[in-house]
Amino acid sequence: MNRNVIVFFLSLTNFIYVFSQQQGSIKGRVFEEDTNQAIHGVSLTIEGGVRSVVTDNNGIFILEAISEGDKILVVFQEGYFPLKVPISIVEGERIDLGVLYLSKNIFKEDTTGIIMLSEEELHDNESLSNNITGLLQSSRDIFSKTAAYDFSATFFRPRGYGSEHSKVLINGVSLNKIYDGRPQWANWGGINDVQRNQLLSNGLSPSDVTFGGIGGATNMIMRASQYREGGKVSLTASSRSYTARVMGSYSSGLNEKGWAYTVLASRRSAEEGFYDGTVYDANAFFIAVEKKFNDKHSLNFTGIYTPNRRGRTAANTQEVYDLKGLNYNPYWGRQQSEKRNSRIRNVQEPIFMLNHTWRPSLKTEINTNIAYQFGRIGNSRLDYTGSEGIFNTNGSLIGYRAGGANPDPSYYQKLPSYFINRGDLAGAFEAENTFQADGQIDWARMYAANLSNGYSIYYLYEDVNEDTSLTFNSIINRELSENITINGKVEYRNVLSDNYAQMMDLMGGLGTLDIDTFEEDIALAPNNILDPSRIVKEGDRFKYHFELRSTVLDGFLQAQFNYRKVDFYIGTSISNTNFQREGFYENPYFIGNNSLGKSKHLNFTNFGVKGGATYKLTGRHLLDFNVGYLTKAPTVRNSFTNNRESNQTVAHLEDEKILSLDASYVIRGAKLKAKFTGYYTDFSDATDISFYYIDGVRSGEDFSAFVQEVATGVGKRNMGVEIGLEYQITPTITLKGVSALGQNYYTNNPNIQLYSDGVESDLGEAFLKDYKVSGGPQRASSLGFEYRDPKYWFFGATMNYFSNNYIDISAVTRTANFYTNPVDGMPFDNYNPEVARELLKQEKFDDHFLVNAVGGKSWKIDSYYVGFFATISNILGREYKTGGFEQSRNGNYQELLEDQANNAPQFGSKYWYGYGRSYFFNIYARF
Amino acid sequence: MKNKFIYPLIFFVLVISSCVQDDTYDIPQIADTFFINPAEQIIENIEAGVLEEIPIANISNFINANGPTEITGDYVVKGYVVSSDASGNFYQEFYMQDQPSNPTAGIKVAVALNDVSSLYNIGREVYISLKGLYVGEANNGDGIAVIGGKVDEDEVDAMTPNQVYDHVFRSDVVETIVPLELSLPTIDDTYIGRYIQIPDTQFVSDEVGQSLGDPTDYFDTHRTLEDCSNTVFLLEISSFANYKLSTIPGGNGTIEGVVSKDYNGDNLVLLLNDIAGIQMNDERCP
Repeated sequence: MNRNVIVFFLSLTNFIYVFSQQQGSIKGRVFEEDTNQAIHGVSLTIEGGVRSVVTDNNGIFILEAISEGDKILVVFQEGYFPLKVPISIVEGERIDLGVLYLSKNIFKEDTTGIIMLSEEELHDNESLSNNITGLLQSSRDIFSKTAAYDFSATFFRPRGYGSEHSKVLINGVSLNKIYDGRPQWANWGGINDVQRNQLLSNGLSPSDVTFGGIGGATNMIMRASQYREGGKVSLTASSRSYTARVMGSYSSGLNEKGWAYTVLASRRSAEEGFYDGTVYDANAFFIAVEKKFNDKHSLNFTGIYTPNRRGRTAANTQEVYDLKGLNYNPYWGRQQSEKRNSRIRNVQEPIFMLNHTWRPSLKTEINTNIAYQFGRIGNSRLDYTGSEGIFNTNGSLIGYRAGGANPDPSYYQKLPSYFINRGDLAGAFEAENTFQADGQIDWARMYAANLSNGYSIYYLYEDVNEDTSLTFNSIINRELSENITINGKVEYRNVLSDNYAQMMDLMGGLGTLDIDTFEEDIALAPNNILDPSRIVKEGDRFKYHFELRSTVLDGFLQAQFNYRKVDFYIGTSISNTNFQREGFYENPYFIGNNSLGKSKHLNFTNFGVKGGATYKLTGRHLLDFNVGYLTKAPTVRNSFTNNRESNQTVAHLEDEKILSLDASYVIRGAKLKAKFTGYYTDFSDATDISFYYIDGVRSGEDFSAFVQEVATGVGKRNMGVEIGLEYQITPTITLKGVSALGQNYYTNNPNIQLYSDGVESDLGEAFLKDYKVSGGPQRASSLGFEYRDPKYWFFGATMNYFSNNYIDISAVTRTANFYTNPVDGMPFDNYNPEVARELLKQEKFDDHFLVNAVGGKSWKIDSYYVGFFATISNILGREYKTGGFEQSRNGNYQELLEDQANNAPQFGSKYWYGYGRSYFFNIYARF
Repeated sequence: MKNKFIYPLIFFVLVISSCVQDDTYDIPQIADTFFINPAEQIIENIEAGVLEEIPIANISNFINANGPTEITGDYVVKGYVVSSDASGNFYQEFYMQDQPSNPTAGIKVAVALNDVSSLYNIGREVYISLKGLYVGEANNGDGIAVIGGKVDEDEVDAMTPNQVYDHVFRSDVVETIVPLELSLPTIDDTYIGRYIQIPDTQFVSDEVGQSLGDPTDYFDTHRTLEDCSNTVFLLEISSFANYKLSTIPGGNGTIEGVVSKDYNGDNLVLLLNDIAGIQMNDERCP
């Protein structure tokens, strides 16, 4: 810490008082304190300003055209303590600040690795998907930092926004998937050491490269010239998703000929993570090469390839957890001696981009980017509906044999509750013993079945999504005057998404017929009536096959104004989105063009406007306001009722409308840093689609069906308060307190349609108003401290309290269908509104406490920095639910009542639990 | 600085060379040790005289008119599976007969599995260790002898999955079942549980063109077979049979299936394994 004092003292000597008008400039050099070497790539900006410059190879910078007056120069480089230098600008004068020294922050730089990013993907719960983008915005204020490190384990989402409301960009190229609007984090996982240059904009606040979403934007700069020369190797051991990680990277820095390159490789692996049977196998490769032709032009190539294969875990009912514990995962079983997981997620989607930077003048920068991404996401699963055809003498399919039964060891018919509900207590006891003693997939039995019958009764297949994406954009940043900066962008994206099921493993059988064995009429059973009696072999596509073509043309324009007392901005965006499905299979329920060939074009034109202002009461007290209104096209995912089957589009498709505003009071004191924010966001006309099996709904002749539920006109509101406080008690001890108090709820009663094999039923209103929106705790608070010893070690601990986490409710049980007897269409005789109220009460998960600790130390050995840090999360080993959903299977009052009657529901809600006590340990060396 | 190339190089090699459990699996062979419910041990025990093999026909000796009988002796019964639940017409049960061809007796075995035929496929030689199991009727008074695992008042219930693993063993022998050819008038109770073929038969004319299963029937549908001399016989179609919507053919020909009785034991019925059991392409007899 004494070094910091020195630096502060040095900066005081640069305090220069001059009096004048108009504008001036400053120059200087930035050196590393320890080595007295020039640092390249350090960013310098005037606090509150938008323009920044970076130091060259000799550490030299020149910042021109600064308006006169007292300013704060902010000197920032990842891995160093930031420096703030008070300066006074004089018209027409160039102030030479001499040498500024940065001291290395050898602790902070590694911590991004410990954010539990993999949680979301581990759980595969789409409705609960964590807003990682929000969490990654960690380098700035204490609130975001705490949300990232201490709240992330619980599915906490800043302001309750889903990840589709945040934009992720690399070198200015948007990477959110068009299919669902969400970033696919596995595509750049494991390259942490080259992701440190992140330009973050919280919420609506302006980003130079995108209009962003209401959840903000993260632009990761991954250009070779932006990396400091040097290398790093690190080793990690952890007890979470992976058990071991090794990572190495090297950056050349920009040489005299204008070349720079950076390479990284890493491997993360686990035979099994925290949850049983969750194999983890991920490599990552990164390369960036940049050539700076002259001061005006440079061209960069960045390539990212992060193949990632991971065993998934299931949500389970409480009954299952009670019998098997929180690590239980029904997806795996032993094959010979190995644990084999039936649900493997395999993501391989390399990204390549070319980035051209052109600076026609000192005040203008134009970035033009082309990005190409292709590859494949596969999710494997077991199927037990394999079949063998029976043909007549003409060779036509007249019937089939399909001898399988659900191999899921936690299938409801194998659990004690199933027997209890039938009054069979002996059966319940036996089921309990069997489930506790084994309770895993029996691979051997399935192989035996296939080998005995010839055809593949049981097989493993993969749902495959192959996206080929081309993005072209051009971004301009121009300083119109000393106070006004204009940002603009035009982007064109084209995504061709090929989707199909692919046979992975026939498991000893010879093949299966490509039919739907839940269908009773053989004429309607083939998945593709163009080829109704096809035998599927390994590698073949089957079940469904379609393409989705999407094009998005997007324009963005923004002006930022910076004055002495107030900064403000206005931004606008306009976009045109076009979707089309093309089916390659003809579904027997959707004859001709209803499933085969091209669907109609879906076309959406959307816009957004936003604006905001920062009013500086004094240099240390600021008021900040933001407001935005935007419309969002429905995602491709939500545009077709069942894109695997047909070209049928959702009726009443509407743009989602979002109104968002927030206001903050910011204190930037010498010892106290605080931010108080209130926010209010209103969503309307959203569309949600879900798929499930339901009993108790009239669909054709059956009272049970596999359905697609489409909710349209969904309204939600997220509002709340965020508080972040940081207080420096002594130079070494910091206290911090953070609180997020939100309330996210439905504001209206959306319309529900059910679709099943071509039958559409309109259930009318679902009474969702005032139910809470699920997705992590809506309230989270943290209290902690950090001790940083001048001898390069540190220790910190936090206590965190979470509450108001709600289950994801089933919409269909909140419709009139709930009290309607499916047999006669009349209300149930025994319908009791009081009982119904109790049955439909939304479950609120228990509040819980998590205690986390972090510590580390580093050493300097010759020119090497060596260090370690470790975290222990959930030290008390508390068990807590992170999320869950009601099973929609019990579609009506009678079913739900009967299922609850014995206090052993067969179709009880399913939950995810958080990690128990877990650790993360990392050692590293830098050179 | 040149030597620093070595770090990334070493690293790439390191990353690529390490591996965890990968994605490819060998298909286990029949001979593998984890073959499900192998009968080897039980065959050895029979040969060693530890267990006594009794013919299916002798099971009737255990039948007691007052209700289920628990088998307490070290008996084993061997049979060849003749039914299949793969088309949904059988549920948690299979029938077996004493010989692959020219059978002299058959019996029903009740097992609480939803994929019976996946392990007990047609033609499979099966050994059932009877000690601790029950023999009787699954539905009191239906007249069908059944081997089961539990007793519910005066009826025999299916073996639980654990009981199946403990009692019903699979030999690696799978025989071709040759259906026993019978004419309609000759079928009687003694043929229950045997796989038969009836030549020169047809559906009665007022059922022709309808679906095999009556969509309005909640449980089983009975259809009527006749020969050319107006002897009739019932065909029973479960509402879970996956061919219940298939059209009843108008021709004459053969039909194959397992002889059993209807729910109350009032009538003998024929149970189809699957739609391939009906081959009626010849001209109807008048």
